[in-house]
Order: sequence, then structure tokens, then C-alpha cells
Amino acid sequence: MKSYLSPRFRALALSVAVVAVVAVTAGGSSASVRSASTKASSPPLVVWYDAARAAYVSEYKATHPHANIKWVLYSGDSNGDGTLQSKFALYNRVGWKAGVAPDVVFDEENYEAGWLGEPPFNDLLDLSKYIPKSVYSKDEGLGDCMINGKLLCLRNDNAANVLWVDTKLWSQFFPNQAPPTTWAQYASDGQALVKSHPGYYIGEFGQPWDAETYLWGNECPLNQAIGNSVLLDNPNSPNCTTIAHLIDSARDAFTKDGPFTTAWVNDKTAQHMVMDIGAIWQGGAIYPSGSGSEGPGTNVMEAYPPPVATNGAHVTGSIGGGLWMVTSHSKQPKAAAALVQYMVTSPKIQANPKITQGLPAYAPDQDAWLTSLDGVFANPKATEAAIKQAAGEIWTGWSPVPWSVESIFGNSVTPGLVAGGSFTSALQTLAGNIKSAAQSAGWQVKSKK
Amino acid sequence: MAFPRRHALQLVGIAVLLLFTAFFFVPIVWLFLAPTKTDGQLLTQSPFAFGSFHTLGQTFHRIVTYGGHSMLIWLKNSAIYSVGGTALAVLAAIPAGYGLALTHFIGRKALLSITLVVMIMPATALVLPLFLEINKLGLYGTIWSLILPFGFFPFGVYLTYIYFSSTIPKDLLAAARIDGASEWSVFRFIALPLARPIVSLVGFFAFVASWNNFFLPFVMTYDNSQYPVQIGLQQLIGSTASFNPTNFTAGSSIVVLHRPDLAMAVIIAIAPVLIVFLFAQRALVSGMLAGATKE
Amino acid sequence: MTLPSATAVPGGRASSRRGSRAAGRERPAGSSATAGYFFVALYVGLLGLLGVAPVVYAIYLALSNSGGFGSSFVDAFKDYRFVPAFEHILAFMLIWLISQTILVVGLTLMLHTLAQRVGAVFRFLFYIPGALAGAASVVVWLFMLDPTASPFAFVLHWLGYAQFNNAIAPGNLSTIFAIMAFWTGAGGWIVVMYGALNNIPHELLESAQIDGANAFKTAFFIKLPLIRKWIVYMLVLSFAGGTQLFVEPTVLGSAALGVGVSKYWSPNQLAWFVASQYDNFAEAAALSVVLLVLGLFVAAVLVWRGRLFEAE
Repeated sequence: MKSYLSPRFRALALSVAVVAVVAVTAGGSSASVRSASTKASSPPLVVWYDAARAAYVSEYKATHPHANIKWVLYSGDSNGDGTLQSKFALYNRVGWKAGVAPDVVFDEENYEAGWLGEPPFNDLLDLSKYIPKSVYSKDEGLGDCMINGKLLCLRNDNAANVLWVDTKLWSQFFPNQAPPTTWAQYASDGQALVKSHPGYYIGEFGQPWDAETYLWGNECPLNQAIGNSVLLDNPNSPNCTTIAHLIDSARDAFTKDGPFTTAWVNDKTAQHMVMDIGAIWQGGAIYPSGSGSEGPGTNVMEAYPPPVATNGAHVTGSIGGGLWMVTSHSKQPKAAAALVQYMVTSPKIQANPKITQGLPAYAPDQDAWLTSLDGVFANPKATEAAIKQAAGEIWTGWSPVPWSVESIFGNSVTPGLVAGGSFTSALQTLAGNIKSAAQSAGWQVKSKK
Repeated sequence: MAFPRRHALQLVGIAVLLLFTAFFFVPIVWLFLAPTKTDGQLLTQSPFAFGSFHTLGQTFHRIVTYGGHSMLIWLKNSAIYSVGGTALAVLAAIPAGYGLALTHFIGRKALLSITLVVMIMPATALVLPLFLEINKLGLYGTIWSLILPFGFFPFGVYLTYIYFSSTIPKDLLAAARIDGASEWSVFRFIALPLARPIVSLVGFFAFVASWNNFFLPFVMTYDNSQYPVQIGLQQLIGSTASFNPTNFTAGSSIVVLHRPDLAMAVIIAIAPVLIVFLFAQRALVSGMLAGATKE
Repeated sequence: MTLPSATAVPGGRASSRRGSRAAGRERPAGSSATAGYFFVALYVGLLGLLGVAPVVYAIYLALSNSGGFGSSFVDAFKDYRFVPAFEHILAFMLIWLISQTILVVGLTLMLHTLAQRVGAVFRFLFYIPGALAGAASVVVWLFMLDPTASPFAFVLHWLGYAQFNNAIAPGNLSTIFAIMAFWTGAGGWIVVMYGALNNIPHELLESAQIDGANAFKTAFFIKLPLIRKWIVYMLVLSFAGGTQLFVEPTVLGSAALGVGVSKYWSPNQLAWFVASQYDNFAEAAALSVVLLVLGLFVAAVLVWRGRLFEAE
């Protein structure tokens, strides 16, 4: 019995050993990037990009065939998933190895430059030393990037909110009327719509980015940096309470389904949106007809300027967009900054709406991009003018901070709103949670200036 | 007189079993049907409708080629980490379990107690200090940052200890020693040949635990070329249009993933474990209970 | 989570330890100590490096904060996310451990009354989800919880959930994670329990029947006490696994666009959050130590109360 089993076991042990050796050698040659980087004569520039920027990468490769670049696809920090913070925190512990740690990063979260570039991280390069002012001064939305006197990023696209209107539905439901220009009109149109055409909507409510749509767009000071690590967080400001009250007054005219839910597609919600306040990129993203989004078709959609704030200011909020950053540990800061500059300014990338879906943040590329919208939306000239106007009206009092307001809104406020709670009462909860997050990040929080 | 009551009870019992069968198995059925449908069909058709093999082929192709064949890279990484970790776990656990069970040395009981404590210790609480330690050792970014922790498998040691202490007749070893066999020969020629069931048992559990581990590679790996498939799945959720708004803005040149693609990715990710499950179940259960039946 | 490995634990083996003790006593003096050291060497090396050193390092990190001795523990306790995270995990554990214990034991006892072949089919079907531990199971449950796509839609609608966001309302999360954990882990435990029941000598059950005990009485008064150690073992390992909850809330949170599930829902997530998002490794280490102490304490109580490892 013994002698019979033993060869079998020997075979087993042998196979385990073989597998182990194969695994180790295979791993040594492939999984360890470290060995690859030491072999190369000079380490490549490491660029982290998100899936939506894949076309940028192909374009860059086509025009720079000899560039020594390692392209790394990652989540883009989408939905504030914290990938960048966690990886940066780890690199800060283990060292930023050239050719392994990133030189250039694309970040989908437009509030994160300060988070990553200020203490305790300090991981972003001040680009003002590497990119001429004549260039970066034409990049719109630098409020997200110019932090404590340092230029920590360049904005990729301008994601200002506009009022998207379904012209067909509008002329059917409101035949003798122009779309609203103030929040008060917007809300009263909503109340009228609920009575005349229930099941049709004037907007979405109950999504993590509600704050960026309605509060940011009305100069509500819930998330306003008023000094170095000092936050103004005042839910009792009339700028906050009036807008919340107006939204509450027309709540039945808002769909609770966000455009990225199964219900949105299932119920063809996009075809029931008489209007919707949303980012510029939303026009091409959620209104096309077809099974993916079940929209009404972009040809019936027209962009209008966002409603004037209740205090009379011409301002709007912003949802999404993205940032290009260079890490301060890069051994090739010049090359890295040059790549960022190319990505942000090149007309081949930014003026081509097939590659850049949102309005380019770089002003010189905007007209060419806008012209390309002819034939896409209803009343293209008016749409293009509205987009351009909104792009210049983003309120700068909603600050880049080291916490995610979307995250806080999503997990502390949205559940209550979805269950039918009022926006007015949610303001206090939101402000309280922002305060806690800010304080635990080492900020001082004030309720008055 | 007890008949009607017993009947009713039996019916209730069967109903409960069927209910739980549905609970356990319906998601699996759904999972395997999902990739045969388009995203629209998935939402509008019955959850148990079959789409078409054509769609299944497309879904498969899309997920395998996505992101420069990322799925294949992740699978290869998972295989390296899990096989490497499993091999190390077996190499360490089998002799250790034997040593604890059938040899005598100072500190044996202490080692046994520590093993039991470590076994019930919440391991993920140690991931952060482990990361810092791995970095101090210069192993961060190498496959060893995962293979070594996967190879540390106190549970396997305990299992082997139990197995050897209950299955090997002590007289056999004593006789061999009296015959002048060295300790090594006793292990090599008597214990090892009998250890086949426990090797596969420890190997199985080490493999499944390594393959399914999320937190450790979440911390230890830093880019796509290193991710195992569990981390890859999380990446794919971030690349699925329904779960990441920004992907809606992606240009026409980009492959946008949808729900059926994600379901396909799950099937591919669990396939190796599932195959091991299907083929090993009987052997494992009998191996696991081998000692007990002798009792 | 480590449920698949948990299924492995043949807790019932505890009885076989009697044999090992006997073996220890009767071992001839000839067996040399050096050989023993040789056999355990590799394992001891790994144990020191990957089991003991990280614990020591965690304690060191937690205590060596720049704010002064022990200040990282104060930071952890004062963190506004600390109490909710532990409340979440507590609710999750209560729901999961209680329902798992009742259901696993109940289902196993029911299966044990069926014909061997029929029982085997059920056990296999229950066992399959075990292959989907970790991120894979969360992906599946994302769909199961979405009223527009789920085969369980009628249940969700009956509960009044019209949307995915309703279904994953904060009050439901502990239950949802408990369901996920039960779904992946229960099948394995049922296999283990069934094996244990099979080991009960036939004569015992027969004599019970002769004494007039019906199926229920046999199950409760004969079978149940005999698999008590297995149940305690399941509790111990489940508890150790449960305190580590990380992947489920993490992946669910990222898929739900952050609605309802915060990134610091569970204590383990919170530890990772403060380390990775605010570079505060000291507070993270303090949280790790708290989790470790808590886990070991409860496990020790269970082990001791359950007399699982009788002292050698």
C-alpha cells in the first residue's frame, strides 16, 4: 500500500513544484513592472487616464509616434472613488519610483486638485513654472486649479450647467410661453406641468449631484473656501433656503430616477423631460435616441442659459468635467507639463467633438467645437450661444475641497430625499455633514464670513 | 392519527427547501442568462428569458478585448498569485501540521495556540501594517507582496495537524523509528504518501481564499498590469455606463460596457473557482470527513 | 470575506484531538526535537513575518502618533464616523449570525431527513454561490436588488421598493450585507454540518426511534447537541470574518454612485479611508488594533464558552 501510493504522491508533489516554479518565473517576467523599468534606458513617462479619455490617447499616439510613454488606464477617480488619494498615500510611503508611479494624471473629480496638492499629500506640481501664462490664462475654470497661489492642474472641459429644453414638448405644453429665465418661473412652470401633464418633468432630483445643480447654481454658501483651510458653511443663507423652497414647491415635477439608472432607460424618462438643468456634456450624452439612453433625439433639444440666481446674479453650477495634473515627484516635469498642455490645448483633440464631448475649457478651441454642433441640436446658434454664456458664469464660490460633496450628499441626504423628505430640511443635514467632514480634514468651519 | 399532521409538515418542509433553493440558485441562473441579452433586453424581457448565442458571442468578445485584453491580464495575475500562494501554503502547512501532530519539541503547544489565535484573528485589520512591512522589505510592487501573505495559511496548518493526528497510526511511526528510519524518512515515506487528501484539501481552500481575496491586492497592487480579477471586476463596474455617468460622454471610438458585459465578466472571473468546485466537491467532502468516519 | 475557507473548518474534528493527545503522550522518546523544528520552520518563518510582525507593527504605529502616546486612539474614538461604523457592523453581525445559525442548522436538519441522493442535489445547489465570494457576489446582488432588472422584482415591489436607491436605503444595508454573506457562505456550512450529522452513529438514532422519538424530537434532542461544537465553530469563524466586512460595502458603494453607502460604512473601511484619503496611518492602525482586540475577545469568549478547544 505504501509503496503503491508513494509514486503517485511524488507526481503530485512534482507537479505542485513545477506549477510553483512556472508561476514564479512567469510572475517575475510579467507582473513585476519594476524589472521592466530598470531594463529601459530611461524610464517612460507614466500617464494615468480614464476610459473616456481613450480617444485622447490614440490621438496622442498618432501624432507622437516616438514618445516613450506608459499609458495606464484607471478608474479616473470616478464618483470620487478615492483611487488617486489611496495610491498617492501609498506612494508617499513607499517612494515615487520613476516609470512606475504616475507623472501625469487625469482626474474626473474637479474638486480634487487641492486635496492632492496640499498637505498632507503635497503631490502636485505647480504648473505655472512650466506652462506659459499666455496659455493657461485662457483655460476656463481655473478656480479649481489655482490653489493658494499654485497652479495645480489644467481643466480639460467646461462642464457648466445650462437649461436643456425639449423644444417639441415645450411648444406642445407651453405654446405661448418662452422657457424660464429665473428659478421662480422654473418652479411655477413645474407646478403648472404637474397639473396639466403629470408624468412629465422639469428636472431630476434625488441624485448625488443635486447640490451642484441647484445649490451651486444659486450661490448657496455651503462649500465655500474663504481662506486657507477655512470653510463657509451656512445653510441658513437665503441663497440656500429660497432655492430649496422653490424646488420643494414643484417636487412632483422632478423625476427621482437619475439618468444613469435602469429605471431611466426602462421608463424612457429622457423622453419625458420637458426641461432639465444639466451640464453641457449632458446634451450629447443622454438625449440621443436609441436603446442606450432612450432619449428624444438631440435634434429636439435646445440649450438655454441657466436660470438667474434668486439674488439676481447670473451664475450657474457645474457637474463633472475633468483635470489634468502633473505629480510633483515626476523626474520629467517638463515633458509631463508639455503633454498636459498638448492634451488641453490641441485643436486636434479639443476642437473635435468626437474626442472631446464637453465644451473645451481652453477658450481658443471653443468656437471650432461649438460650430461642430451645427445640425446636432435644435436652433444650433441659440444653443451654442447659451452654452458659451453658461461656460463663463460658473460661480466660483463652490470650492475645491478635500472631501467629496457628492459623496456626502449621496450617502447622507439622498436616501431621505428619495423617501420623500423636503430639500429645505435636507439642507441642515447636508451642512452638518459637510461641517464634520471639513473639521475632520483639519479645516475651520464658519457659518458667517 | 398522526398521518395528516405529518403530511402537512412534510409539505411545509418541501416548500421551505424549494424557497431556499430559489434563493440560492435563481441569481446563478440569472447570471448565466444575462450575457445572452443586450442591455435593453435585460431590462425589458423576463429575467429568465434567453437572448441569443450571437449576443452571447458579442458580449464575450467585448469583455475579453476590453481595455487591451485587460480581462486576460487580470486572470493571468490571479492565477500567478493564487497558484504561487497555494503552492507556498501547501509547502509550509503540510510539514508544519505533521511536525505539530507527530513530533515533539519545546514550544509545540505554544505554536499550536498561536496558530489557533491567528486563525481567528481578523486578518484584514492587518492589511495596512502588512503593506508597510512589505514595503520595508522592498517587495511592494512585486508578486511576492501577495504570494507571501497568501502562502501564510494557519488554517491549513491546523487542518493538517488534525488530519495527521487522527489518521496516522502512531504505532506505525514508532515502529519505523525503532527500525532506525530518520525523522525525514518517516515523514517522507510514511506520512506524505498518506497525506494526499489533506494536500488537496489545504490546496483547495488556499486557492479559493487567494482567488477571492479583495482587500490585500486592493492595497498591494497599483496598476492594471498587476490587478487580479477581483480588483478588475471593481474596475469594470467603474467602466460600466450604468454605474459611471462619465462613460456616457465617451466618444464613439470607445467601447462602452453595459450590464450584460459585467455579468459576463463575473462568469469569467469565477470560472476557475467554479470548475474546481464542480469537480472537487465530492472528493473534498469525503476528504474532509475522512478522519471523522474513522473515529 | 473569507467564507469559503470558513466552510473548511471541520470543527467537529475537535473530538479527534483526543487521539492527538494520546499520540503525544505515547510518543517514544526517540523522536528528536530538531526534526520538529525543521518541519515547522517555513511555517514559523511566515507566521513571524506575516502574522506576528504586523500585529506588533500595528500596535507600534497606533501608539507612536506625533500627537502623543495613545492620541491616535483618541482620534479614532472621537472621529464622527467611528460610532456609526461600529453600529453598522454590530447590526450586520447580529442579523447575519443569528439568521445564519438558525437557517443553516434548520436546513441541514431538514436535508438530513431526505433520501441521500435528493439531499446531495440540494446541498450542491446551496453550495454553488460559494464560488462567488467577494466582488463577484456584489455584482450579482447589484442586479438582484434593482427592481427593474431583478428576478426577485416582485419581492422588492411587494416591499415597496420601486428603485434601486429605495432598496439600498441606509436602514437596509446591514440586512443586505447579511443576505449577501448568507448567500455565499451558508451552502458551505450546510455541507459541513451535514457531514457532522452523518457521523452520528446509526445505533444512537435507531435507539431514539425505538424509544418513540419522532423526527423533530430526534433532531432537537439528539442531533442538535451532537453538532453543537460545529455550530460554535461556525459562529467563531463567521464572527472573525464578519468584523472584516470591506469588499461588499466598497463595491456596492461605488456601483450605487455613493448613494446611501458611505466609504466608511464599516470599521475596516473607515480604517482604510483615513489612511488612504487623509494619510492618517496612525488612526488607521488604532482602528485596526480596536478591531483586532474586539475580534479576538469575542472569539475567545465563544471558544471558551463553547469549550471548543479543550485545553491541552
